[in-house]
Amino acid sequence: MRYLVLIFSLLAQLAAFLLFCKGFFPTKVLLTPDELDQYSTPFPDDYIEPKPQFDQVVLMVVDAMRADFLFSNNSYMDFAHKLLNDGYGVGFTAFSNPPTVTLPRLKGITTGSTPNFIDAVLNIADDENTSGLGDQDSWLKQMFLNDWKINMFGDDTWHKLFPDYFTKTEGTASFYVSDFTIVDNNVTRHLDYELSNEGKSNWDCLILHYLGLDHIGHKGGPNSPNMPLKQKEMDQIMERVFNEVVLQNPNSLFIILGDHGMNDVGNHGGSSTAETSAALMLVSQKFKNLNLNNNIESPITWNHDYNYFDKIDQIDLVPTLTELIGLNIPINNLGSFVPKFLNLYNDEEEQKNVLIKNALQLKVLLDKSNGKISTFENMEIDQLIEYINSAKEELLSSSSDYNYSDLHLALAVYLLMTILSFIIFGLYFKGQFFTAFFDVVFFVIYSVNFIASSMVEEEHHLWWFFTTIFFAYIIFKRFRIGSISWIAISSMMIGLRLLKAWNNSGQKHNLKANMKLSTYLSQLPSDIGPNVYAGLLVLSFLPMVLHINVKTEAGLSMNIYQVLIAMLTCLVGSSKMLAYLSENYNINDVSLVFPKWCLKFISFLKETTQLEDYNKINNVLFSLLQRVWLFTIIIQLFEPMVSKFIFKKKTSITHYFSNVLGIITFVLISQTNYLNVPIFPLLYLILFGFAYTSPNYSTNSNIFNVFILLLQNLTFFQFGSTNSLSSVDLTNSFNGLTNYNIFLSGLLTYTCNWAGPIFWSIAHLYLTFSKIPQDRIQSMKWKILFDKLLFNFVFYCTSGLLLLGCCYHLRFHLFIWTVFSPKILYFLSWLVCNLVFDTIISYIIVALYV
Amino acid sequence: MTTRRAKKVSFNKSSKIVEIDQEEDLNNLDLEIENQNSSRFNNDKNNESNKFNNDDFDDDFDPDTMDIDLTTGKKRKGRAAARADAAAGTAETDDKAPVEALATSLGLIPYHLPLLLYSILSDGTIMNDTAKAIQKTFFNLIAIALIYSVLVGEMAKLQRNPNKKSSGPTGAEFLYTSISFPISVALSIPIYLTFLLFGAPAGPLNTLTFYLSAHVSLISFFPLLNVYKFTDKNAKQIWWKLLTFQVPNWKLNQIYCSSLGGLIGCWLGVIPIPLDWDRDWQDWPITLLIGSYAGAFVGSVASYLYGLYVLSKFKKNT
Repeated sequence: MRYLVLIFSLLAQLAAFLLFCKGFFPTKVLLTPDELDQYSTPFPDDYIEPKPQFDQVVLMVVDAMRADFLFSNNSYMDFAHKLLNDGYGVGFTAFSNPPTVTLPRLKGITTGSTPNFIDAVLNIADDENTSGLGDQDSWLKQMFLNDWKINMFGDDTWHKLFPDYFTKTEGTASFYVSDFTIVDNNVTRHLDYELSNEGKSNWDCLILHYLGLDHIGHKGGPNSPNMPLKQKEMDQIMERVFNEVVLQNPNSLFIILGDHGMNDVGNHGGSSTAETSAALMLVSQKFKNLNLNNNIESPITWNHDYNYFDKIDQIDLVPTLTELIGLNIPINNLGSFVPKFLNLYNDEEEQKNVLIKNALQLKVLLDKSNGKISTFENMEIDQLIEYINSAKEELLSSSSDYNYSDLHLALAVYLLMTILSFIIFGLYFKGQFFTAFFDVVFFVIYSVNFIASSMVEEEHHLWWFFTTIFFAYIIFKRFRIGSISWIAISSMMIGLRLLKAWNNSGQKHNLKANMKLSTYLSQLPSDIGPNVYAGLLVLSFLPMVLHINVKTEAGLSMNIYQVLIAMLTCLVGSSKMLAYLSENYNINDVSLVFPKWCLKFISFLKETTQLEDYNKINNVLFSLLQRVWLFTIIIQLFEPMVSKFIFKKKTSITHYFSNVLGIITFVLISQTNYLNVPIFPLLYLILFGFAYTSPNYSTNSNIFNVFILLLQNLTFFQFGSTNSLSSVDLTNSFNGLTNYNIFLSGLLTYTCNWAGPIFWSIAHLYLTFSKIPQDRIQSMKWKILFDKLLFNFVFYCTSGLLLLGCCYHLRFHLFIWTVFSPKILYFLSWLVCNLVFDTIISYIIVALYV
Repeated sequence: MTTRRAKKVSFNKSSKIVEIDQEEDLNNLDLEIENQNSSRFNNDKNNESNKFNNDDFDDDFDPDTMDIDLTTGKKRKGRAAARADAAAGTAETDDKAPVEALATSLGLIPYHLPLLLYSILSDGTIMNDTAKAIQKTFFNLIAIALIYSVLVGEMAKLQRNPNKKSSGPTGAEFLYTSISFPISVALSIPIYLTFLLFGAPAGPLNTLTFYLSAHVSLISFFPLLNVYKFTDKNAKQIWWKLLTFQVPNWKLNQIYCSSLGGLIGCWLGVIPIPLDWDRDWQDWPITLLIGSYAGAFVGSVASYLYGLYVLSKFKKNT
């Protein structure tokens, strides 16, 4: 009965949260062709379509090229400065709307619409059907409809967005994040043909997307030693395109732009000035004598505000480009024509027509959002520019709307659930006022931090702070109880500290100064690195293997487990080793020296699988692993039942729970990023240390619940995750899958990012069940689960209510889309973790122990 | 192990709430009960040496036997039995190494700490060149902490033998200070390791963390080392109790409170660091340094005020 009440409340809580999300993240309603007819205004009588200025376009996207990389005196792009000074080039600092991730930015650059928050999520979901633009209007679609031939080379995100528009194309996957040269050489090698006379006759628009600069940024930040070389390389490509296209054809336009910037650490996704200030430069012969740069000499002195040349919005490129090449402006565009380029048109009437075209396109959207058709009067150029700007302003501000009835209902239900949870909690802990009181104080202190955006960004600090306080308390408690095991205490604390040192989390203090063990591991030279990593892998499997051998009684079942565990160890170990070798180093590079066994290992894998591509080999390993794993876990879960009913023998409780934990850890390790695998022995170290240090379970059940909650969250952040969408790890989302399956790859992605919390929710069972005597298990087992469930329920109610309240209250806050909305989604995932792993899976595991 | 009966609430199968009796470890009893069992000697000393008029104290007053709540002066209910149980188990071991407290006194307040703190902050160099400033302050702190430790030592001597007039520290005491000082500087190594375990950044900030631990060691451990001397009998047990927070009547132990305040202040000092105010002083370890200086002073003052409060309550009741 009480389980039913609790599970019902959990579901109600989840439903309320989902309802809030529904009201909070409205999907964007795009203009349909019907509405276009309904709201469009006819052009004035004296309107004549302006003449196209260009008939050939080269678009060169340099991923993460911040404005200062192109314009400042810290830039190494000397040729670009020469272009600007000679008047061929026109420079801008283009504001890229957050989220500053490639997919939403490309949508913005091509359609002219601002991304809505869901786009950022879909960037992660990576599904071809959902992220593709489908029929949405873009300048690419306009080009396609007007028989422009478009060739595209570079980042394959373009393929996902526009599967059909390209005549000739080759995409480069950003699989080797640590690779700075091959991704770019794969683009540049096409230039020889494409820029030849024969090649040029086969395209009207050439798109090049270079990823190397972004990779360098992710790896070493904006001041990485690789940066100057890469900038010079990009500069040379510009020079090549300029000489071979722009100088040859007076009607050609060459656009160089960064899709977003990067912050001081080299990451992007957020909304800081450094991330949103992307470079934009338009180059053409026609600009030469117009003095569009207002005599500003390049390079410009570096400044902190990234203020170089004029500031425009990145989406302004869309109407500007389409007007300059004489095509229709994409219907959902919110950008405005850059007035500077009016100088290209000699006639004032023509200049006016250019602006009218943009104004009428925006007016459709404006009328639609107001629901009525306004009048459009004849205006002068200045008035037109003003009209366009105000329309743009209004459309940008009204682009998000909340569904208030959903929000209010969701908040009310959530509040009700919270009150209910407090009542149950109060009744349950009637005799232990202080325990309940401290729990609630802890929940509230934690949740109050949602008010501060920086505390949401830096949440890992909070968990570390709470965890150290908690561990200090546990250790002092042990001092008073007596029988101190210094080994347990020190292993627990050292494990905790190494866990903290493994990755950095958060935004602000993601300092290079803080030693990160994972970066250290990834930067080892190729002759030492594989040996170190292999050693760490052995350490990672040691706890599970030892556990299974020590806790199992000798006999047939032990032999079965030994075989299965050996298989799992080999499979997981070789797949992780292969991932380390292939993702960390370029194995085909002959100049790298590897230990001999590595080469043997790789050639062995290649021979056995008859495959060459490391990605595919890994996939084979994973599909094999998943089968063995499923077999093992099923055997283990049903072992108690079988031995009870067939062999009339009781399975030892520590054996059962430690084996389940060990087997589940195998799948968690296989789903973890290869650099995070050595975290698992640390988790085991903390678990064992705590098991020896913690007081007796029956009187201190609360301590165990707090411990699990703290470690779940701490581990989550120490895997390198943050509350920002840019840190979602997708490296293991397609392990063992042969074709795309949204459910399975979603499950794999979830396991990959929540590996730490899942480990702890299973470890909770092992920890508590090994602490109570065998004869009391049957009477206590449901109580243990209920205790944990209730504790988590109160926690998620309190923190969830305050989070929703904060988001509702701060819904017009500057950071609502960049800080608070991702937190809502993360919290939703935590609710799912609570419901699925802490409740359902734990329940199944316990229920099967008879 | 002694146990007591405690009430615990649980659900039974029919989902009603029932109370069941359960055994609970004695060790989980709250601090004060234990304190009372072990502080007899301590309180006797307190009474004798209190610098306030001792006539006010009734000879009967002994919180252990009278079972009086020190804060309210009221008799406690229902704890006598638990206390009697507990006394059998723990009193014996505790009596061997009692942690004596010095009486609270205005003289024990570390006035130099806020002054030093002011000098650090008003100077302003700590924001620009943290290492240099923190080093300079450390030398100032050494000089003043040495004087303070001698004062504390004298105070301890006076309180232990109130009848003997002291003519200043003896040679042996100076010798003790000259040994205890390097010891407490050396203590900064374990403190540093503890900081590291509790999450201090490793890497280029190591030096700063080490200076911080040296400061903390001088603020929190040096005075303590001059009251609870390592030359004393039972020094090992006493220090064990001090380090594991098993000090009876710790709220009235001004030196101990000051040490605890320093540590807690240092701990709480990390809170401002992640906030996005982007001020210079949010750098590691400035806030921790400020926290430990302020915490030690506040701890000492709070303990002194608590002493006054207890005394006034007590006067009112007698």
